Amino acid sequence: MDSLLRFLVRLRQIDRRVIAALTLLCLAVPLKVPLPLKMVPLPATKKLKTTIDELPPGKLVVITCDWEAGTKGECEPLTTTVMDYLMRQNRPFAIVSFAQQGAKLGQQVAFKLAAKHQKEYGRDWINWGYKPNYDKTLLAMMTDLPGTIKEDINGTPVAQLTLMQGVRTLKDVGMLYNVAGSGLLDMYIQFCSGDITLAQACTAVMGPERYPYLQSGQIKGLLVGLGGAAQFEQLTEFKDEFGNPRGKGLQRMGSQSLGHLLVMFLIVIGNLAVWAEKRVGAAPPPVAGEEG
Amino acid sequence: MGDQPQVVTGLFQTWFSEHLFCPLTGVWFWLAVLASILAFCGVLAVLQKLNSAARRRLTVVCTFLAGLFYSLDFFCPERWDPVQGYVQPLGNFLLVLSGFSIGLGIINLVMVHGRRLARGGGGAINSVAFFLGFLGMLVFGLLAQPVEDGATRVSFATGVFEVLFRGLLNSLDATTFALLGFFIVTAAYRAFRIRTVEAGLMTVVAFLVMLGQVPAGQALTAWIPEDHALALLRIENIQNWLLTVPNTAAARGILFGSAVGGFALSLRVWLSLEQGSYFREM
Amino acid sequence: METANAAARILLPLLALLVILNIQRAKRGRELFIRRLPGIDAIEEVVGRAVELGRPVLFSIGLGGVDITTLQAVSVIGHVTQLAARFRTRVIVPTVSAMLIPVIEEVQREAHVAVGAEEAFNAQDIRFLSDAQFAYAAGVVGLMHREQVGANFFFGTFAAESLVMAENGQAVGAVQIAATPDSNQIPFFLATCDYTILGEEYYATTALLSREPVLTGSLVGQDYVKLTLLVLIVLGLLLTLVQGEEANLLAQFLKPGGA
Repeated sequence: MDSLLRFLVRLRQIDRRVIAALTLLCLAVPLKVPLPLKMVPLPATKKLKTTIDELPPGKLVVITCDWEAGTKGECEPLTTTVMDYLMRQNRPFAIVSFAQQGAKLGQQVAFKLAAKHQKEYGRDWINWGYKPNYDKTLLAMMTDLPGTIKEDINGTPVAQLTLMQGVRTLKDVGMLYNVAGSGLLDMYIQFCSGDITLAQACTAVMGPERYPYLQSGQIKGLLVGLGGAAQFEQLTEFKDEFGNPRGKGLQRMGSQSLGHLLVMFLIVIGNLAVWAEKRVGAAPPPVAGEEG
Repeated sequence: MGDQPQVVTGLFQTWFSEHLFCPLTGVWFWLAVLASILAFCGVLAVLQKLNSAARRRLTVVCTFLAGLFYSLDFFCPERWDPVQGYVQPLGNFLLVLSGFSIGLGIINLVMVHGRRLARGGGGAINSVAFFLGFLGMLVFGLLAQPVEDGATRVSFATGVFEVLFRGLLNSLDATTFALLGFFIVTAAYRAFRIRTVEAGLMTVVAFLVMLGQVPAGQALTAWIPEDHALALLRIENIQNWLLTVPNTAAARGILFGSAVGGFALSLRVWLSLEQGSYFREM
Repeated sequence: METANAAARILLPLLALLVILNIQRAKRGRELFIRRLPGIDAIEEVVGRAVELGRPVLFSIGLGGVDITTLQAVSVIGHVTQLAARFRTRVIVPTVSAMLIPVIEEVQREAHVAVGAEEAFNAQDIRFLSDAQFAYAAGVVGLMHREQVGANFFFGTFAAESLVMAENGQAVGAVQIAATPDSNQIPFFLATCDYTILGEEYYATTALLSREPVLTGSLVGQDYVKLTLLVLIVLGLLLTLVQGEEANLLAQFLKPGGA
């Protein structure tokens, strides 16, 4: 018993480099060795699919790519899976971004998917580009969309594009789907909810703050983090360009699964070590920031 | 393209548009630039002459007027909004003003690093790196041309800028963000201690939410059929309940508190009641 | 909502009036009770720790620009600088917003003057690092390690960079206080900082630091505002039970564009 306790006490002193190496291993290996995992779609994800399915045919959907390279890991699958579903359903969409890199990153995703589904730029999708001064631009879009956007990312006047026929303000679009890795989501709730069908996708850390808006009906669908993307892929039977039923969301679920298990394991052994320390009577060194 | 939204003309807005805020060319343009610089220097000189108390009074008046402007715009119905026509021009003015503030940032950086470089010593190498990075981005950023998708040939300056911006800055950005993964794990190991019943409860909830979000966790209760009466006990359903019921209640509570706190603070700043608090006790 | 609806036109001035009335009550000398917060009480102790160690203090105001959350943080900089300047200890303030440099400079200069330490004021302790989130975080982390700071204050708007900065603060052995109204970052600060000030407590910081009647009155006024909102919530619930969700008069009155 004593030796077990002493072993447990030693577990409190694991070097942070060892923990970093374990983390790297847990996250990297499943990316190379895919695990056969299935996701169960949650109500928030199902609601998004229903909202899209119930849109009138031909109605423009606006996708705001308010994310940059830092949150690409989560936001790219969240953008890809919904764009792919819209293309499969022959629903036209427009990309716009209030984050500097977002319009380009969203365009890269759309180009790949357009090649897969033989969709044409200007007819099936369009990119309005990056727009600075987000709050004022969004407000202006609510009253005069073509006048605010003026040109697409290639410099073509948007009023000339067939996709924009009948779209005078943002209130004329079928749905606004925000993908964000920043705090911009609240701005859409403030300025758009009530007038526009709004759906959101965000990084996992921002998820808990979004649920009140889902419950109140201010947003009509929510995808949270990589898990949200994986659920939507599962629900809409996403297939990559080779026909494999695996999107980036599901692919990365293996890493996330092992990552979560590692965190839980470390919390347990950290606490066991503290318990063992008390049992053997060793005075634990004060550790700043300990919670609980 | 459709009906333009009706914007009420602000007080004297037409006069301003016709006499002050109108495009100028040739000599008039340069005279206007010169007059603006002189006016700016004049204002700066007057501000420098003012004593601390007078400057503070001026700040109070300006803060109140700025708050009043946006309050009028928000509270007045669109038909009777006296400032509506000025919101956009003022927004543009503020954007230009904030653009100039980057100059302050550059001056600050150049002074800090220039002084360290002049002093020499161990940290000087960091300052050299700053000047190299700053000048590199500035020069190649100005010379670079936009890159079309699928372009195979780009100019030297564009190539260097792409390497610096996309290859280096974006990648470093993503790398710093990715470090979070390691920090979360080490923080969980070091700091998450179960010392009380509440902390124990929080741990159980955290584990349930973490398991419910990943397939490996969902697999634990996958044996319960989805349409069975006990399906409520499936881990993803427990997780969903935790997020949509207790979490929503807590998030709303924090949101209400923060919003009310922010509202009261805004009011104090607008009426300059907050201002005296900085150093009153000294 | 671009323009106020009828509900906002009635409720916001009413709620503002509640705050102002309580400020007047406090000004007239009425004793108002506000509870203490450990995080705010600890500010002096944390600065004292840095002074004892002979190390500087780092005060990060997060990613905010000139906004209400950051202005509150700037007020606290004044207080912390006063405490530190008495013992000629530096308070380094890295910022993402160049526009805030003159404001912070003024606040720090006045704080030094107030405690008779004018000669100790160094404008270069206010540093613009970058306006990009992670470049700023990397810069702050570099400062912590190079300057071997004794105490860290994280007051303001933070996002994902919070954990990067606070974990590195732990690594250099700094005592840390974090305060943010943003609930997303609270778990990370709780795990890594010695004291955390959450949600609405953040906006009460200056009131608790100075105990000025104006500010304590405002804080009590906030409670009345919350009470009013609570009454509205209960009324809304009752009306929903009686009238149903659609016909609920209060919901109609409050919804965007309503009434």
